[in-house]
Amino acid sequence: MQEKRVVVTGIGPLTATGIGKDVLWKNLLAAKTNIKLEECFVNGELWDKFYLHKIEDFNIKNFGIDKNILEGIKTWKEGEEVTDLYYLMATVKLALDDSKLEYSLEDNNIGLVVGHENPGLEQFITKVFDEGFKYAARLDKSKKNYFTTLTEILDKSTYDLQTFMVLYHLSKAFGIHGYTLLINNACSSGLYALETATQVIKSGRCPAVIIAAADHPRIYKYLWFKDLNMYAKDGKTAPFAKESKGFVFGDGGAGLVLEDLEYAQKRKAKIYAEYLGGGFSQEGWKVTVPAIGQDFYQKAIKEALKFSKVEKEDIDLLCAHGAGNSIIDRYEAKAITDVFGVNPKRPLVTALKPYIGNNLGAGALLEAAMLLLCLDNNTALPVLNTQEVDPRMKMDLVKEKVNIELKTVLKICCAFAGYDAAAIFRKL
Amino acid sequence: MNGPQDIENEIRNLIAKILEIEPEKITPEARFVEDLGMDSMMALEIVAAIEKKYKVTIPEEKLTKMGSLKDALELVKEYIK
Repeated sequence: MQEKRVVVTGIGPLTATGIGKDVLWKNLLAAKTNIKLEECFVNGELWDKFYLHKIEDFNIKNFGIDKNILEGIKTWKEGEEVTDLYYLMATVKLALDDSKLEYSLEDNNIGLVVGHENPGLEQFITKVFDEGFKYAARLDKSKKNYFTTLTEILDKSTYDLQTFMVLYHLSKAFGIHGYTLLINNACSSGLYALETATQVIKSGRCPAVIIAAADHPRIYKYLWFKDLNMYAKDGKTAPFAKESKGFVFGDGGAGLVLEDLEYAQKRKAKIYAEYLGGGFSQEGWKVTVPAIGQDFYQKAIKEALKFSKVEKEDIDLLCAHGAGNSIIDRYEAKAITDVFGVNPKRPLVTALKPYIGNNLGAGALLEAAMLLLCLDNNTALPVLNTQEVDPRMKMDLVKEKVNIELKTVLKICCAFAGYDAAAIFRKL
Repeated sequence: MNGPQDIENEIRNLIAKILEIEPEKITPEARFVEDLGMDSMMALEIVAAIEKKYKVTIPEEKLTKMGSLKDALELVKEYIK
């Protein structure tokens, strides 16, 4: 029996630069970004401030999701607004709308694979701090009373931190009754979700699987990166630059609809590309620095080429992780030049974080979605902010927009904690 | 078990190999970056090599503390089992 082929039929990006693929693409071509200074106040006192690619005026009610579903979530969440979940819902809806996939909401075999680093965690921490502070103002010094009181206040929020609840809310909202899974492999989560969803389709279990990833990074993550001296003070991340600046967060995420090729063709869906295959490796060394001197990242890229049955010369455009951190960028550049040669003419190398920010757990999937838009529009987008590539990296970047016939593209990602991943897409 | 002088010489040689300089230039106090031209990638290569050789794990928050051979030795002694 011939192996099933898996194609992308829906793209749903949610970014500070644009919501939905058409608006986003228009703004990407115009190199438009929405970088804002986020000032965090605690009880009127400025705590800290940092730049990020910020989605402003986000309202889940604008995405055409059933009102009763939204009300149900709000009731369950006892009135709390849950941005992480709402972002995921928005990406799923955008991707489904784009794919025009129709299915019975009562019963179906549609699957859902979600990638997220920390759904609800930042909001939860704030609540814990707030309630702890209120309790501290009391005269009661009993530790037991403190634990009991906070548990009573936080029990529902604590329960909802369990990631199966995210899948539950999303599946219920979109009437998904097939295979569901939540994945957390740091910045590479989206590519792991892509591979997992593909295997689910190839096994014949589901004809279509929606994958979605999102992030809404705020003060707590910022303080961690600031402490590591990894955050760009001017809000401009510059991948592979001689003068690297650091990370800049970005709001949002992306959804993709994956389908069995035959199923997609039968319903005459628009097909963006076939997902040919991926490569994955785990460095097993440090969390915040990559495994310098090892070749795990090279291994992931080569594995993707092998599973995709394509030669390295076939890759037209490569979208790098391009974190904008000197060590990570040099590690990545070495992997690229080890596989494709020093100063390779092909593939063209781009990095898209300067457009949308570092979307953390959703970054790889969002950038894969943007790469698919490049493929669809036969356009290689330039790397913004990088005036001069670090000469030690021995490779060039796309400096200006290139209109070029693109056939096969590669997304790679080297995440914190050593999750290296690569994914190859090809136009049919 | 190697003595302190053996470990010092081993680490000196290991660093010299990565920096591609003569071991004699690596005095205990010579600053890796300022005096010996080490960059961040080389520093991580050295950490990886030390961890592998002595089967120790140097915590990430200590990586920036390793500014000289003397610092490296102290770290290895702290974490060696």
